[in-house]
Amino acid sequence: MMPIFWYELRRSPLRWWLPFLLVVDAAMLFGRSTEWIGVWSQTSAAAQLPIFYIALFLAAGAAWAAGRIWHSGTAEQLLASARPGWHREAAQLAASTAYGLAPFALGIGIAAVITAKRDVPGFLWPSYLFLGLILLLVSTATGHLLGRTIRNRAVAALLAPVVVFIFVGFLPWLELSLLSGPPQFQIDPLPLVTRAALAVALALAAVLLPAVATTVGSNSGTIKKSWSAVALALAAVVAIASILTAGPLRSVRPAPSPLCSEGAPRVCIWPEHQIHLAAMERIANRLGALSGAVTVPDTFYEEGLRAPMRSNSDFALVLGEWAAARGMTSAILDETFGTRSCELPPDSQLERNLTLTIELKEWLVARAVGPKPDDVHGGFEFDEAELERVLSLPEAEQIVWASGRVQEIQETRCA
Amino acid sequence: MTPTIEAVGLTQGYGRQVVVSNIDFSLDSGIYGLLGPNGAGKSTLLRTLATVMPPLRGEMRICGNRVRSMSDVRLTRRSIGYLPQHFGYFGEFTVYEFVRYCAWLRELPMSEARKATLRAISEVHLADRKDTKLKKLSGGMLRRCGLAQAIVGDPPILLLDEPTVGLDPAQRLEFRELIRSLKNATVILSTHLVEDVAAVCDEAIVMAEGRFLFRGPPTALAEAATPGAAGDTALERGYTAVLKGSAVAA
Repeated sequence: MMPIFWYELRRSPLRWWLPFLLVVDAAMLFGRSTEWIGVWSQTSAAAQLPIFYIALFLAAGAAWAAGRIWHSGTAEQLLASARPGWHREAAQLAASTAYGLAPFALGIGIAAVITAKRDVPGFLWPSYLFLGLILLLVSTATGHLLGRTIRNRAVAALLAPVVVFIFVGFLPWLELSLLSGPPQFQIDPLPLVTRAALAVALALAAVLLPAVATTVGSNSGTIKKSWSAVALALAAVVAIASILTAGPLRSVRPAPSPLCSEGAPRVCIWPEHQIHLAAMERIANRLGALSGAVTVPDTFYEEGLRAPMRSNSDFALVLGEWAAARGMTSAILDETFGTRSCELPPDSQLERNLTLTIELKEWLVARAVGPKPDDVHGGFEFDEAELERVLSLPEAEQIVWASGRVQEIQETRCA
Repeated sequence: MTPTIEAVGLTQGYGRQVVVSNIDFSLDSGIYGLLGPNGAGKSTLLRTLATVMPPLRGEMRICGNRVRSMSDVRLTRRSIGYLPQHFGYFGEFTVYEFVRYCAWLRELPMSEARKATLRAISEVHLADRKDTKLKKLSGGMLRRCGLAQAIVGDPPILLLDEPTVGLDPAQRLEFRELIRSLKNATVILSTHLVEDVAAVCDEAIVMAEGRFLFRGPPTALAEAATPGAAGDTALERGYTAVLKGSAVAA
């Protein structure tokens, strides 16, 4: 079968797309964000993510490649083939899939080398890469199946990426692609296996259904066709049902012994985030220097280490150090003001309280990490000119300003 | 000796239309020219023998094996080289790749496939074009490539449906030489060209309306000519006479 696979590989229309697919992979790896560098779980997720984009082109290419039977006039010769039709279909599907594997493998290699150079412990998380492989197979199998089903090659090639896009974008429960790979989460084996089963069912359908459709010669052929279609439909239903019952793809990982900084205040993070420790320590030290105005906790924790995920008082590193610093300022505000245990004030007073809190928070963030980066959007509106004015004041005056804000916030918190 | 092809009560058709009607025959090794007007059932008979269509009724034995189940069919197909009337090809493949692909489809052993492919290409005089993509070949060359894929691996049965269409006179002469060289095979050659039958066939079979009207050596077909029968040669006159029903039925 190998020589035939090579012929299919050499003659696949996807060969013209390979350079483009390589560029797409690299663009997605580096173009979106580089926060993954130095964190193995994030590196693995980042290497997997480009498959979402590549999958669309692969599906189209696989559909176009598989559609050659309709235009080559070979149907009659293939009907007379001694070799089971699925061998033929499998060789072609394997070639189409290989054109996805090439950029995927290259992307994984590049990502792995870059993170390995940062000298951080660990290695790639195979579960993310396996998920990428699953999506790869889903896309080529879908394309192949459509190409062998729809006689109009162009329609099949246009429809295939749409179907794959629906799988990934509009059926969130399928979870065939993940945007990031925070170490707080792990991909569970069972849900992953159920998705792999779906991919295999699709690949079997892509290989067997067209093969059975071109298997005639004995009167049992029609019966075989019907049974094959029923069996594969059943397999698809079972695969989808198992995905739905297996639960979410990822679950929260048990917290490990955290990696903490030495100084005061301490910063404790997930060991996988080791590369960020020095930066987070610097941020913590800058915040610690503001203890004349606010109450700085003894230790800042990354989320998931001591409390359930998305706890307000712990910071997240998933969006980078600037976003993490904002999380640390939330911990300071919690520590300074405690939990509200009184009646809410009237609306106007509450609004004033909120404005003051935002201003204080933005001042803390600016002191910790500087101005908001250009690629960060959203957040509350605040008087940026006023903040700039405050930041230009001498240190002692800034502390006085912040202390005044703290006092006013405390005075306006309750009815 | 067991005949290479044996059919008993073979009936074939499309839907309710019967195209090949209850024919019995057996063929040993040799070259058989299948003649007949359009719609006579020649291509349908070849498709049936190629196991592309299961017969509506009747029984076939190919190389001594009864063809009934799908596994019989697959086994049988290894022994058949088939060039359909409308030869299809993958334009992006080279001549070598395509013939090798067809050898693979016929399940030729890996160890033999390469040599067999090169030999088949050489026999149809395409050796100097073996690395040319099929989409760049002329019609005649494509036809020769079709022949190469049919003869690759020297199958004992060759079913050739109008193989000389698209060949120029020189290529037709080469083709005849090639067919003559297939001494041990059973070759069924469907054609409209009576002179091809005269030149290479051991026997002529004339079909009309799904039945065999005549079977015998080309000389016997020529002798079947009746006065006033249309045609420029004796064989053509014999052929047209048989079609008019004035000759001995097979």
